[in-house]
Amino acid sequence: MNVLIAEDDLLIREGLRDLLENEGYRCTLAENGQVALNLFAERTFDLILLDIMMPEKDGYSVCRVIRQSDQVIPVIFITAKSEEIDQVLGLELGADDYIMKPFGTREVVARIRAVTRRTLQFRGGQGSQAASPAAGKAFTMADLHIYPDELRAQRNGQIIELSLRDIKILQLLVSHCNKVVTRDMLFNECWGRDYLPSSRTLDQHISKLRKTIELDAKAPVIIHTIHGVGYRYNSSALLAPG
Amino acid sequence: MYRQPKVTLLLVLLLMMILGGLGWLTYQMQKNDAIVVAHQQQSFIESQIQTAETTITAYIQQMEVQLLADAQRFNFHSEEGQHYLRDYLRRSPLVNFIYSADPEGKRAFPRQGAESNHERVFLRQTRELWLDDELFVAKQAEVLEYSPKASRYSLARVNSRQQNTVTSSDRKFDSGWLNWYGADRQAHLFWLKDGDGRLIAFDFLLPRLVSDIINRLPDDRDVSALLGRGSMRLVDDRNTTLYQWGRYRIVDGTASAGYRYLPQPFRNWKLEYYHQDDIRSGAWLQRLLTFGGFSLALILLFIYLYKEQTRAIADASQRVSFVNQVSHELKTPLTNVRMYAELLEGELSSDEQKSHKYLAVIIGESVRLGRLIENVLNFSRIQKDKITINRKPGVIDHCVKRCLETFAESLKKNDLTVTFIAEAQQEVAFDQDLLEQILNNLLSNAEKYAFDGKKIEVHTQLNAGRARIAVRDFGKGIPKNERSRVFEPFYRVSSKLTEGVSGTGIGLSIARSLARQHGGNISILDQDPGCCFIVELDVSTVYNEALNR
Repeated sequence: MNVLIAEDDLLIREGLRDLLENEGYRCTLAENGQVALNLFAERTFDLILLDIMMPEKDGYSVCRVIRQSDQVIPVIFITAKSEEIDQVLGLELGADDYIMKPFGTREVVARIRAVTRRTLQFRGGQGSQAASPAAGKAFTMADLHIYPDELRAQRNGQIIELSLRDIKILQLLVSHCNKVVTRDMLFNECWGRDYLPSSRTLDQHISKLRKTIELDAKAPVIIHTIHGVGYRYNSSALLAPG
Repeated sequence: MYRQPKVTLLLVLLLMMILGGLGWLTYQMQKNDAIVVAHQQQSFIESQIQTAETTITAYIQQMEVQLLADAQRFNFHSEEGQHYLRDYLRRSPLVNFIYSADPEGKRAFPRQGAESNHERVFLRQTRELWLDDELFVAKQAEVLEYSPKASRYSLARVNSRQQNTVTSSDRKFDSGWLNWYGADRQAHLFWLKDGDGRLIAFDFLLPRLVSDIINRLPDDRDVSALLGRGSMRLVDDRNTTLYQWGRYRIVDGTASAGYRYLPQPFRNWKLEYYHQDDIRSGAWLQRLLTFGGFSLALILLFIYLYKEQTRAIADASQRVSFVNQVSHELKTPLTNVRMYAELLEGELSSDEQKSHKYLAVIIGESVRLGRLIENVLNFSRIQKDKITINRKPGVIDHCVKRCLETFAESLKKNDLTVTFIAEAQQEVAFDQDLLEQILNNLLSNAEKYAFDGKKIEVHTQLNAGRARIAVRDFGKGIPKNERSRVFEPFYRVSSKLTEGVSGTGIGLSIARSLARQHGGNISILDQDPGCCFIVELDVSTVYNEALNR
């Protein structure tokens, strides 16, 4: 999914990019409102993060222009003052949510995922397969039930939240059930061609994913390591741990 | 510049009231003065006229006495007597004609056949007078009768006065004055009647009479000193000015300031007094200037006070916006510190314990910093009445749980365990940030002041559209008399406990203001040991549709 981040502070802008890229989103950056509008005109996005106080054009104006042509695309405002929130609500700009500075990464992630869920479900409802590779039916891996559209998994009633990338990884592993998924395949499918992540990045991510979904991350049942090659999911995983 | 218009209005109102009061007082004083001056003038006029009147009366009396004495010497029967009379007439500057009739009414003087031409005219004019006996009877004062359309021989009986004179030879005389109008002149007769009934009447040369009177009135030099800026005027019955004295030039048509009719026989002559008005205006101008000067001083003072106050408010407002500005400035770097620390944490592998710990500190402290900044901003917002509530659907228990998780680290450090009884699991509309702020403040306080209690209990409940969150600690508690005061801004219970503990003293004040904004309140429940804060929020309203697509 493509995200447009419009924020005039360089550090926040790049920090958000790193954060969202970890989540599995492709990010485009804009340092002011005008650049944001130009980019919006050139490409398609699935989500927009808008700072309010920006040079050239402020967040309100950008949102208004965007809404003239697109009523659907989710917009999340980044605000510093609560007065700005009041304005956002008051102006009825059709914002989906807002995050207030200073924010924690967990907060941002939660909101992004919430918006993503709505988008996926909306698209699923519309029957459009086009721009969301994460769309898909629910599936099972071992004792874990995965619901891609909800960015969630469930085991014995316990709900586990997953990122977009996590879903893609699991979908890839399941679609190649019992077969090895190479590093390259993972890179291509789950990271995209724009990225050149290192092996360490991949391993780290898998390691984190295991901590999230495995009962015992040190003895993974769902994601098996195939040294030197990649990873694999075995459909008979319940029976053969290791 | 909040509430400035009200203060300005008040100041202006006050100023106008004072000036109005002053103006009214000045006006009253002026009126009083005018009355006083009018009174003074009145008495002055009275005295002036009185003086003039007295002079004239004295003169007339003197003249009457003289005439009486002269009449004693008249002898109408002898030739010598007639000569004497003619001589007397010739010599007298005042007496024009003399008429005498014997008791039977027969004319004794001028002698029949011996009249001069003038005397003949006079006799003709006065013929009817002599026939009327009634006229020559001493009577009490009669009402003035004046007939303007006088026919040729009409009479105007002006006044008769009784006068009894006792002469040295015991001859008693009745006397009186008679004014009569001839065809073209007014004449004054002075008559005497002796005990036998003999009548003697004197007719006067009016100009001479007037001139005599005038000579006895004050002249210009004396008058100026007496009358100041006024004038007096003697007018006859036809309003002809006989005489005028004084410095003030009388304008035709203006009314006199006062007048008096002369005593008889000039009863329809008037003495009038005129004066200039500028006495009054002089004082009036002075008073107006005084009032004006005072008003100006007062206005300047008020303007100065107003400016001072405006400046003071502007200064205060500037200080507040400076605080606001700084706080907002702090938010961006703080956001970055926290975000990058959390990103870094994500990059670490699980076995880098120390790095995780250090990062946890960085993150924890930046969160705390964020709370402090939020507190300061909220405080100034409360001062400005600018707090707004953003209700969103949520679960109170989740929000409380999040807060407790955020505090988990530092609570552990202080050896505090938290018991959470979660009974508010329904989804309601409330402002999550607001509730977090309140809880942050309460938990932070518990950390600072109640850590020796080792325990904190949190209990949430929902009941009839109201959420109730109780935060109970087991520390030293707050003494009863301090309980209401702890909610005051900047107030901190002073004790060994609070000394040395950092804190601004605004936490509870903010928490309570926020709770009240949310339709609720914070109160302290009697507990022993420790302290229990009850947070109540109103969650009965419908949430904002804008965020519920």
